[in-house]
Amino acid sequence: MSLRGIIWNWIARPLFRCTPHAAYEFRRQLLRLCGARLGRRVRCRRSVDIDQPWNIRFDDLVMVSDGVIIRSAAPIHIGPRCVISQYCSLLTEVRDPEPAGHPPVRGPIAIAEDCWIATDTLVLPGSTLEAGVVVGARGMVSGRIEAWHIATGEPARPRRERVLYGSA
Amino acid sequence: MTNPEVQGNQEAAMASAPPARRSAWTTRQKVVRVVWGTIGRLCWQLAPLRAPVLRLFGGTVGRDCRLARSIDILIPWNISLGDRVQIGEHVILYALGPITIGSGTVVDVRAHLCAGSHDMRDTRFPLTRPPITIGEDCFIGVDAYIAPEVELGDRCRVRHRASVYRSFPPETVLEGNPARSCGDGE
Repeated sequence: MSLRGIIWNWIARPLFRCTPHAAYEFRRQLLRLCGARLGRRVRCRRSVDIDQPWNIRFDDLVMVSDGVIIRSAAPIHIGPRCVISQYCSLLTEVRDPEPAGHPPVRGPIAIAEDCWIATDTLVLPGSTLEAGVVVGARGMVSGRIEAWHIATGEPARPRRERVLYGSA
Repeated sequence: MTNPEVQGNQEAAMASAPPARRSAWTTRQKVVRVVWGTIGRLCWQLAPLRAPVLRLFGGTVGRDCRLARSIDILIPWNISLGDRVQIGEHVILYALGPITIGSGTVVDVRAHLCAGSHDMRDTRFPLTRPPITIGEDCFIGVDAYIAPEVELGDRCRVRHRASVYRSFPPETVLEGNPARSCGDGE
């Protein structure tokens, strides 16, 4: 294990868990110390579980809620103003169900700006969410989802367009 | 307001129900569970200690098992694993009843094996502890759920996010909620 891996797993990660609820700035510093690239006012709750922070890049104002599992064996990029709701799993490595031995499948996750991933959603390796996508609660994202759509189900499919205030 | 007819049935049901014990656990079991949840959990942080600690608390673990750090095992003495079993991060082994996992089986991240239920014929909902049995060389995908009393045959594959509520024969490929067989897996 690398030095930052040791620092993260044995010092920073337990500290991260023990911080008070409102210590977002301290948690940001812990993540940055271990190589995470975080924008301004990124908020991670203390119950978020990140295994390799050096692979994550969160832009300004990203919110990651309670109980989210982030497995960053491959890069994870989350664009500005995204919300990851409670108990989501963002996984860049899962085991392949089909072949014998079930080898791990890896792929980066890219989430563009203004997305919302609702509660208990599973995001599988290699997924891409274009700008403004909303994924409904307990969805399963696999692959690419078109910009400014609301996607639901397992696997999540775009169901309708997301309409903002002020558009005709 | 209670419906007198339902009330009467409830009383009859309670009269014929087996007497409920005050606790489902003996004092010794309670003490061991506290030790498991504190000292056991601390030892679990060190990968080489995981299998020996689980054996110390009465579990059965085969050779070359790979157990992740964040596994949640409720009752260690109800766990029995074959050889080369691999269990991923955040897996919940809710082992109120015995959970048996055969050799070579892979359990992926956040799967939930729930071997505990309640007897709903009794309004006090007494605890029941049905077993879960997973065969050899099975696969249980990310965030899958295995209900109490489920028995999966050898080489079954539960795809990501499936919820399995009944038993299936060997070599079944399962998908969806409730999980159904989807062909023979190509």
